[in-house]
Amino acid sequence: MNHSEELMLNAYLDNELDVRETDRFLSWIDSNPKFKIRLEELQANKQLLKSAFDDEVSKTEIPGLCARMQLPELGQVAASLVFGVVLGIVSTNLHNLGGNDKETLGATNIAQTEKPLVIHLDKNDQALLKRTVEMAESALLAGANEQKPVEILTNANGLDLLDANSPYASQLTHLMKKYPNLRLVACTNGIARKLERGETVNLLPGIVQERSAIEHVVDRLQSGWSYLRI
Amino acid sequence: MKNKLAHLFGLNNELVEHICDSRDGLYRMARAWNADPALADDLVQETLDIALRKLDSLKDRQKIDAWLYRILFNQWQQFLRRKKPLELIDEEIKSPDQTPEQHTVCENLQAAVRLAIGELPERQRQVVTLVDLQGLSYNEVSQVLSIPVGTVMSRLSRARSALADKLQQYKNQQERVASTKGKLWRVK
Repeated sequence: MNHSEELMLNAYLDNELDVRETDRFLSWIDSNPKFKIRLEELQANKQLLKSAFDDEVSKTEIPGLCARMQLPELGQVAASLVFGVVLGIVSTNLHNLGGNDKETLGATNIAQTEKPLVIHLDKNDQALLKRTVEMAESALLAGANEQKPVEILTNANGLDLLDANSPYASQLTHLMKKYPNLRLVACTNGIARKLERGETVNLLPGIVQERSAIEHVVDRLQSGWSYLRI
Repeated sequence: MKNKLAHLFGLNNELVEHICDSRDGLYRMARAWNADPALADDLVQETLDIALRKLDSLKDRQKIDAWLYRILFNQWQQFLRRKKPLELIDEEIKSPDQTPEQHTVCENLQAAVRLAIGELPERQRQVVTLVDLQGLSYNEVSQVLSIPVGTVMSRLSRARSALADKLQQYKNQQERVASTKGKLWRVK
């Protein structure tokens, strides 16, 4: 069998021939039994190759929109990727707080708008914990008259902010008493993962638990809240 | 959840669904290109992440599969370049979980097929898996790999011939093993 005959067999096998070519091919192969045998062999091998990987299923934790497993099963890294994707497709209500003064100033402005605000923290970094509390306080102060709802949403290592042993525990307790419109929210999935890792979780009293941080953010955004990621 | 986010960010639900549903297909492809499941997962994750972030760069929705596999291919090439910048890409891979004995004596047909694919030169392996595993057309494979359709056809033909030879060797081997089973041997 020469090279072009082999190419022709493959093209037929892969449905690459048009109607006229297929007709010509079929009459050609009818008169060449050895090509028929070769074609059958190629067909069988094609099927074998396809089925050789049938049992391969991805266990990939997919960023963002592809969470087949839903967020409960996504790990911390995947969760932060989720928010990365969320923030990568920025809408007007989404704000990512970086470290420089200009961004901080912008975030302060966001915190002081009239819209309800969800402040999201997913890291345990002293500077970020401090900034989260400051932003919340600033938003509460600005919206004191109209009782603007403000939430601090924590997941992954950001949950440490709401721990009873957090350096901000007493400040947060004080804020909650002073501002009934402040809600502190912990992601239940994040808590579950911490417990799985053998970590102790001892949250402050009055913390609200939500199953999935990302779904909570989505719900808030759909309800017209502003979102500030620390 | 997917719909919720897709709607929120103005993404096309159908395309997002398609990308998400392609995960296993991409993974199978990544596994066919390399034997390491963790690396395959990484490649797929990178691919999906890029696809979702750059969805608006997809010009023709009909070409979404070629576009997705092109991203996967680019990720794979990047990995190869990082891993072994001085080696030629066109080389065989060996499954790391195969011992030398297993290399010649395959436990079953599925393993034999996988091994045979792993032994193909990289460029042939890419073409044959894109066509047979994923069912891409020659034109799509040409777009994914940035090679002419004629080259796709040649590589595919060579890959299939090589696979046929390897699988024939395996069958012969199995027949030899089967023919020795059940025979009584007397020690002289």
